Amino acid sequence: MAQRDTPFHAPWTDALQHRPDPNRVTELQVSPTSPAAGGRVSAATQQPSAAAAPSPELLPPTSDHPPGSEPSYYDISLLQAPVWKWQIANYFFFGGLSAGAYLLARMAAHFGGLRAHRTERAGTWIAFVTVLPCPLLLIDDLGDPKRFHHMLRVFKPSSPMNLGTFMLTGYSGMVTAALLRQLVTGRTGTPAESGGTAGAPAKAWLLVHDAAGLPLAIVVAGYTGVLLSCTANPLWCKNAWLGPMFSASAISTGAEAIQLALDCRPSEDTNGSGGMLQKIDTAAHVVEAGCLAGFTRSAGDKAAPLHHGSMRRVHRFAVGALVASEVIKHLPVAPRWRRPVRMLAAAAGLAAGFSMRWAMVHGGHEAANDPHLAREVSRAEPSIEKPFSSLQE
Amino acid sequence: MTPQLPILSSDEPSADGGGALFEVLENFPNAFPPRRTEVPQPEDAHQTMGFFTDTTLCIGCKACEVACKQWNQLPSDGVGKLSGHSYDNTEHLSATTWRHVAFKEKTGADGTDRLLMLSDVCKHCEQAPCQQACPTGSIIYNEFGNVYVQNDICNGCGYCISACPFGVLGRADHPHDDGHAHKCTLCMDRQEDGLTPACAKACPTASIQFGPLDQLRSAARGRVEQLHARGNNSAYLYGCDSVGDYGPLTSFFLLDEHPNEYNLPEAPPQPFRGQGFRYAVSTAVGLGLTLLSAFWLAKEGKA
Repeated sequence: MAQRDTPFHAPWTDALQHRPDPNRVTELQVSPTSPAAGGRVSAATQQPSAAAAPSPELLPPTSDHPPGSEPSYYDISLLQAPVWKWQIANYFFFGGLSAGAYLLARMAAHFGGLRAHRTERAGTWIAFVTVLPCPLLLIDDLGDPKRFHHMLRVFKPSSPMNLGTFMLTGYSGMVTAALLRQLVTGRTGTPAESGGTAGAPAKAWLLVHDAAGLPLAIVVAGYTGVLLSCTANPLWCKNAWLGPMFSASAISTGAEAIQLALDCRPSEDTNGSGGMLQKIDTAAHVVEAGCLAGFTRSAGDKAAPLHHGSMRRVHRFAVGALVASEVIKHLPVAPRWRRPVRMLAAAAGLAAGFSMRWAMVHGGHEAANDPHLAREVSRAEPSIEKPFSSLQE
Repeated sequence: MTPQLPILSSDEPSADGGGALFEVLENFPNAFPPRRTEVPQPEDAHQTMGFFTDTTLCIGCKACEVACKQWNQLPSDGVGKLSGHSYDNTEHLSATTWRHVAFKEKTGADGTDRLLMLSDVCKHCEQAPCQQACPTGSIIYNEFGNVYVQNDICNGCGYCISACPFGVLGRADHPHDDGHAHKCTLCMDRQEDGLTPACAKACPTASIQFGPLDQLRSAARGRVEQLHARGNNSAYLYGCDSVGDYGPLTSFFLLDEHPNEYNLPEAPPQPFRGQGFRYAVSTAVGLGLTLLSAFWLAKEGKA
């Protein structure tokens, strides 16, 4: 091996299989590293990719930690990695999409004219179908899935996971009821259409039903972002931009799914002039991009897993697909190309929404396993007098 | 618990057979002892019990790790797993390691080498984020003021693991493990019988001290003053009064170097601070976009 673990030589030292100690400084450099360099060690340490090997006879004297480096504990992170995997990334996507589609369908039911009937029908169907895998994904993610019902054992709204479970349960009931109503009555149930044949109690029931479903869907759309922000993970901790980003993404993916479904069965071109779905999709994308920028600025170098780490390609794809979706949607094309172009834009938007959530969940794994980021998330505020400062050089 | 045999009123066997039967019937209620056994209680039943771990006394014997593993019947983390990190082969707290001794060899410039040793444990925070995160209500504050995971309720969702800023909890994920989250219980079962927790009992140098929290804190402050008087000016208390977002930790430490040297966070965040604000902005954005869609729909309908 290139470097010696002991300052002496003996027959057994050659057989040592120890990992190099990243805290052991082998070559002391005079100029300190600026903190803006991410606190990286200026002196050469025994990293596996270290270039120069010290002379085996003499190890240079070391200080506790040279200027520019930081106190650390080998290469072990002080945090535990999250246990959430692909099931949770998928749940974030499908749950958000379902809530967004449901909200747009309800708005179409109450505020849209006759042209919005197809939106409402498709939206309610999509909201139901995409909420079906959600409980299964969540149950499969548990360490002890047969105890899934313990989630509803107590009502504890101070825990985002508990509140979200209750909201998801209530919301899925609302979606199912809305779909059943749609199937049984054969009507969309919009007040305008049902005004003639349905009495006031039915209309009142409809309003109450949807008024109850609205807050449930709004919570389901964004609570997962709040849940992530209420962890000690370096990528997510206390980041207020996650909730609004997930909410906006829920609306945009819901609109894209409805648009895709409508365009799969073309009837008269109701959205040819840029209907509500495309406009709300653009608005939601703008909000989502703004929230992503705010998230990146708020996280600072703790967002490194998304930019330089294992999720950098997925994250870049998410941003690129979001931008591409908007660009494609606004291309001036001949009328006969509008439908395929719209579908392509919607598909790109859905891919962006899914990959953004995938990158966020899996980036959290890398962030928690990174010893430097784990220390950074629990770094004292620079404006406050640094605690333990007398112990640092 | 098997019912005890009826206690006869005298040791001599009764000559009168009928009288013996009557005595048995008279003592019949004693045959079934009361369900709640009388256990010795701490002097003040509502006092918080905690740990004070004095790292300047630790000799790195790892008796605390062994005692904890043995008392709680925790499985092995892997035989022959050598990390190469000084004497620390355990490396981190986990679902199956509830006491972990950290070792750090520090080389001084003038040959003043020394060994930092810390017996790490769950901090049993007074505003524990794991307790707030738990959606099943499994994590509670028990009658000793300690944070306790009820194993028959936990379903392994893993939220507590991500919420802990000290990285204490783990999930038992190996095949044939129960898939639940586990951590130090501060030997609640031993405390209920009036015993000292296993690690504190086993520690040969009284580095780990157990008792009512206010007594521990005054003892700790006295110890720091004693060390400063001896010339060890770098000794300080971590978690006695406040650290990061937290007030007093029920299980606190006396350290000699920066917390990061021991793999402790410098200023641990309480992730649930600001939760209400984050819900508000998330709801505002969702509601705003929903109303915007309604506005555009209404405009479209009129067109």
